[in-house]
Amino acid sequence: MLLNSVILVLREVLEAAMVVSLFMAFTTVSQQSRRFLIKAILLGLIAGATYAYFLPEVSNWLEGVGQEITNTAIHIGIYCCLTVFLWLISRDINLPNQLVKGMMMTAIILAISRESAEIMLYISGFRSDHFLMQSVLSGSLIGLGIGVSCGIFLYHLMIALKPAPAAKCICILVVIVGSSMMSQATQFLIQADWLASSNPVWDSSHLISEHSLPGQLLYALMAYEATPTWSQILVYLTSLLLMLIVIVSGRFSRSIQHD
Amino acid sequence: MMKKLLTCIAIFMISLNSYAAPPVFEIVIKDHLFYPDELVIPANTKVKLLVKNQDATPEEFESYELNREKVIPGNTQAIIFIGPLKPGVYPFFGEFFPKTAQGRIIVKEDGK
Repeated sequence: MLLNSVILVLREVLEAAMVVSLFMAFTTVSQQSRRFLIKAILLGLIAGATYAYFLPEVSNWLEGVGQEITNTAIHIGIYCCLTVFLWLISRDINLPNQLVKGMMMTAIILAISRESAEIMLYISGFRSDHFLMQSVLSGSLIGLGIGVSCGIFLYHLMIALKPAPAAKCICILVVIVGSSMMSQATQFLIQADWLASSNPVWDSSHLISEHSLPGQLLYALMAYEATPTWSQILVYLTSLLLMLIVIVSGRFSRSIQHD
Repeated sequence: MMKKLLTCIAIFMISLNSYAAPPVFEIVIKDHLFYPDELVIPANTKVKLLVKNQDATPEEFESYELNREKVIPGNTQAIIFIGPLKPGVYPFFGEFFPKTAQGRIIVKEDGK
């Protein structure tokens, strides 16, 4: 049970840690206070607890696919926040601008809410079994520790760079993470049968299995699927392109203003 | 004439079939086990899985091969659409109790 808890919690924490550490690094590079990010993490945990509590009801919405549609909305929400964030900073609108702060906070709250809801539901399942609860809790703490450490590692990797390349690196990672959110949203829509399913375009499970550690890390970074469908690939690439267009057009309008 | 009529009826039945609701297959979770743990479904057909969690604890239906994940709170049921799939074996597991909750979907050409 211990090892299972470590893996489960680690998988969930990694995804959220990615967004949080990128934004932590961004605030450090911008020499701003990180207090608002801590607030966002706490709000995210509260939102997660609320989502976990109402999950039985949410699941029954929309003829039984409420959970998929809520998750889709959360992922699209994160993507939108990250896109607006990229637009603002490429127009040179930086922290402590309220809108930049708002986008960063909303993205973190959404990212943490879904991942933490799953962990809370998982742990709450053992509340009547004190014996198992001990190993589940210690396993979860280890998983949380490893996940947070990965986030801290990424953070230090970013801030070790000079401010300008660091900001560029953060932007590139935000684009990759953001597009992966849309890919996951597509997956949930297919699962809910709101989008037609099709045969996988390729099968790379013999190269990188989703069960393996590299597969899990790639999943956290860019929603790696060994057997993606056309719709997922299309949405992923379109979202990626859209974010790049936003950055380029933001920079373009900035240069016009400066002229 | 009769042949034409039969062809028309056949085409009508096929088109009707493609608009019909997907077939429903039931899986029960009890004592952190899937019943049945092997489910045979027809190939190239969309299928609706009705997963009933009869345990008091939540479970997450997960399958990398099917690209599906869904949390099912204790004593509730969930709908998961899968397919159309090519013939093959698609393992699934309960992420919260993976030691015991293991199963597989077997997709066969004629569904038998």
